[in-house]
Amino acid sequence: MKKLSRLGANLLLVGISLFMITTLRASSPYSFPTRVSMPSDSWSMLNPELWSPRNFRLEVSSKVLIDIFVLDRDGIELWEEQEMLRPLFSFNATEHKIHNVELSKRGKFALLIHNPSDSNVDVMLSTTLYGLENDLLLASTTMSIFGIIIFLSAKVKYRKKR
Amino acid sequence: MLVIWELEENWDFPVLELVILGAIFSILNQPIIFLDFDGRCRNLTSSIGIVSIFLIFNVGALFSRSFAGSFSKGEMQTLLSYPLKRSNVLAAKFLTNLLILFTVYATVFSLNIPLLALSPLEPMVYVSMMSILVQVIFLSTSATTLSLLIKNEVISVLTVILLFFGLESITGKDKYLSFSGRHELVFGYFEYLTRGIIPEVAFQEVVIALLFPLSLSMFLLVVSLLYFNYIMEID
Repeated sequence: MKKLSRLGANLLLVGISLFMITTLRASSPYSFPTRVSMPSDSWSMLNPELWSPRNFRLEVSSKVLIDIFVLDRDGIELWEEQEMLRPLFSFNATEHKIHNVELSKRGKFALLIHNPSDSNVDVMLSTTLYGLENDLLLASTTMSIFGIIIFLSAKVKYRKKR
Repeated sequence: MLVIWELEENWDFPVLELVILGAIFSILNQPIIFLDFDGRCRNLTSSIGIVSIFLIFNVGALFSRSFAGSFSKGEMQTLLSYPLKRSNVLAAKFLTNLLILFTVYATVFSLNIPLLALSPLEPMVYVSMMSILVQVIFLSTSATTLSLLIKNEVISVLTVILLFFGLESITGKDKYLSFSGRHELVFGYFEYLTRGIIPEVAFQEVVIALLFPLSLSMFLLVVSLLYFNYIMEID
């Protein structure tokens, strides 16, 4: 097998394997329920976690209206250092609701909860990450396309030579 | 020259492709289990059990094909008809297979850096790679010795795979005898050093976990070299 066409075949194979890996990883959604006790008029940030670019589902259960903010790495730093709010997503005045959003990047994320009411409340949160990891899908598609282009151009070049 | 010979004989299509496929499946198929951002390095250990199985299959097939296969196909006789030292032939075959195999696994393993949002200089990535390298060296020397002694490709492949697969299964997570156990010790020790995450692993335990396979590998390599150089008859 000629070197260039083998490189193309290798790239295509890596792309296909990455796609299969992406679908395998997508078959295991992460779901983690959390219970947070919030005093009146208070803020609480949950531990930062590593989230991948997948569909994000947040199920909220609270007896009073609360605000929930999804912060990325910059947002977390800004909140911790200057108490300035720059959320990626915000779910305002929510009580019993399911929110669905799509995360666009991989990295550090945290949930910030605000209880603006004058009563203490127990908030139940259930966060779920599901679906394909978009960056892995993009990498696999790009590799496959490059692989096909290199493989076909090597074949055409070889035929022209003959 | 010998390296190119080995590359053309042992790594032709689709051998390299199958090794890459195995590495991708074994290393990347595990989703992120430890979500805590500061403890995300722990995810590097989640695929080690499957990696050890794929490594056994890859090393068993590649080294048996390279050594035992070259006797049955008459390639070794052709090779030794040239003015070459036997030790050079053994070294070229051994190092080529070892380095390519490790390069493939290390490259795929490094994909964990973006997937776990780690820094490219994250020490735990390189500690894991070192642990995989030690295991590759251990398996490669064992497979070389067995292939030279058995001289039959199929029996050699089966012996290497069954022996090490059996050893990994029987020893379970024994801290010195199984790869998973040794990796856990090495990873735990450096994780404590770099991040202060308990449980602390004693320095002596890490030294044993690294020296045990390395010293056994050195012994087997010397045995193989002496046997191949001075004792083995090649018709």
